[in-house]
Amino acid sequence: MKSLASAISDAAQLWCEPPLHSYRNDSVQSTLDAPNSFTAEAIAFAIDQQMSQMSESALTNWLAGRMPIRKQQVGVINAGNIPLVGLQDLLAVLLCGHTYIGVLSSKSSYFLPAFCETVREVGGKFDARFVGIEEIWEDAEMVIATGSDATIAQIQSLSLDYGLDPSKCLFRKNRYSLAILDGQETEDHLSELALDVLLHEGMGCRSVALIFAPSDLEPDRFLDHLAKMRGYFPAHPSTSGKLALQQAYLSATDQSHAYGDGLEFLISKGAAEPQVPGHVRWVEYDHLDEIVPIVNDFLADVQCMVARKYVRNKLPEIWDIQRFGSTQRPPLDWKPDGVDTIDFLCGF
Amino acid sequence: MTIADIATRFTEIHSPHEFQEFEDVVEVYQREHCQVYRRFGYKYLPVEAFKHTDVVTFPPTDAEKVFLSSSTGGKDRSRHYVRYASIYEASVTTLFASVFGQGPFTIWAYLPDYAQESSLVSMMKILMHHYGGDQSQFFLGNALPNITLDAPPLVFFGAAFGLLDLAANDDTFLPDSARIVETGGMKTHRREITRRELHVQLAEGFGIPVHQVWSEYGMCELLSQAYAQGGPIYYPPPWMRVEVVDPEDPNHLLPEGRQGLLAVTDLANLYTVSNLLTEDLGVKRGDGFEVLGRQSGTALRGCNFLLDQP
Repeated sequence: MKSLASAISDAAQLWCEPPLHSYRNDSVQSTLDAPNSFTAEAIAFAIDQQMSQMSESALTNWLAGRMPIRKQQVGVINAGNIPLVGLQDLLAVLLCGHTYIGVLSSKSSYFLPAFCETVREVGGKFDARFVGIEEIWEDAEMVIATGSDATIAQIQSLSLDYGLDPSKCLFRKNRYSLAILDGQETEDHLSELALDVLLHEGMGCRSVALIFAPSDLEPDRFLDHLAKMRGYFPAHPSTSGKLALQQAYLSATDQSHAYGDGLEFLISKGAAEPQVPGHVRWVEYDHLDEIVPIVNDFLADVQCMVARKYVRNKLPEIWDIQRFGSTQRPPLDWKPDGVDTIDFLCGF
Repeated sequence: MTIADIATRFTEIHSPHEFQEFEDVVEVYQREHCQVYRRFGYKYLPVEAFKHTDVVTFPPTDAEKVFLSSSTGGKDRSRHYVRYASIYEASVTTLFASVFGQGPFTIWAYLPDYAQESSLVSMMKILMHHYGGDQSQFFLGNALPNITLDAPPLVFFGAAFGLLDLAANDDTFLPDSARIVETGGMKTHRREITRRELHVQLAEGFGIPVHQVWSEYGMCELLSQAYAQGGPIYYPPPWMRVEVVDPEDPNHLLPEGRQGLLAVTDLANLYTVSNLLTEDLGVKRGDGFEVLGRQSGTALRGCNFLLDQP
């Protein structure tokens, strides 16, 4: 019998190599019609990026021989802010042999069921179903959920009401990512950084929201790259409307800012405070050392950091800074909030 | 109707029609005299404007009071220039009397870490002055003040996190008829908790029924408040309107029951800007509203609308 890893790998291949599988095409079309800010280009990037790394050996290596003591029903409350955001959790639960009970977001409810169908079609055997949130509390023995502080507080409260062991709940809170420049970045670096900032209209915890830059570095070169990136990844039609109020506010309060034609992106100078999606904050510093205490202050809220190698070597190793462009290309085994999902799923 | 008329009559508003009449005059006045609001152009000005610039329709040096927000995480503090202290006093006292009655009450305020310039400290001074009996007081430390059996009914105000710490101590029982009014701040040292959990813990800690744990919604940038009287729903006074708007498009009002950002029209903010977009996430419930927590740029990037709304 075909292993599940092998079936997942085959399904992934059908989704990323031409002729593209009809399940992919249909779910892309349905997703584009759903109430979200996804674009065809960003969806294609996300699917290709994730599917291309799902070889059987990569899946097996990720699991690294870990298996849970017993099969459990795992409830996963999926966020819908970027396409395919819940795929890693789905794979982790299935590869560990658990039963997957997923709640989908109305913003992105097509990809996961369609991918499951593809895996079944190529011979994969697993237990997965998609349900309403009430069913999670009735049936799940373990829960994975992501949300804002307020949402997680509500979910924590509900999970306690239903007698779920808090140690069997993996809650992830909102985070954001940041970049650190020293002014010596190449054109390639800045192009990749534009991807870190703009893809998925700035949504998702891995998108870069803050850019630390030397005070004598003007963002002009980077603005050119943002504009160029919009050629590859056009803005969603709703983006300019969402940024218009932000831009009016910056203008009314005399805060230094710049924006692309048709408000396809917005960048402002100011304090290290993340702004709404699509609006990136340029934070000036005089010496690289200055940013260490600033970033340490909100380190718990940071998902990823990117910088060029020279800068990486000058900053604390524990920050685990990656190269430019890596935020939108999460590896199969990446650990959201620094927690290994497979370890969590095998811990009981 | 002139702005001066509104300044003396806004607490007498009784109908939505009257509110609308006042609001129209106020908005025109503020667009004309407040440079930031005029340049902004949209209806609801983000409250953070009070951090970045002077939000005024008059020279700031003419302000009778200046309220400063508490400093959190080294970020800039909001600065609210109050043209006439009497307007703030009228707003605070009229609402309090309509919600609690004329008193007298024993009013306690437990506000550790609050500066003298905070609007909450000012509010408490006004309430104690107008409605407080002899045993009304501000206090700090880990022990409750003494209260005699013949003291007027106790109304005990405090920031949520401070009250929780206090409730964790022994001997923090209040008289049976006491009311607690928590003024927000849901993040504890331990973890974020829901308002319902907070109220249950406060009721248990202070030995009173949970329906006597009330809440107040206010902020440095607003001269009016709203109270929740033993439940999750806050009711604004007749001169304040609270709407819920789409965080991604604050021009779009959301219907009752949908989660979004609270957008407030406070006519007491006559000489600054009345239409303000808060950073609070909430839901409209009939004539009132529920507060669900703080909405940051980070939350919008992440997964705030995780639990799909009906």
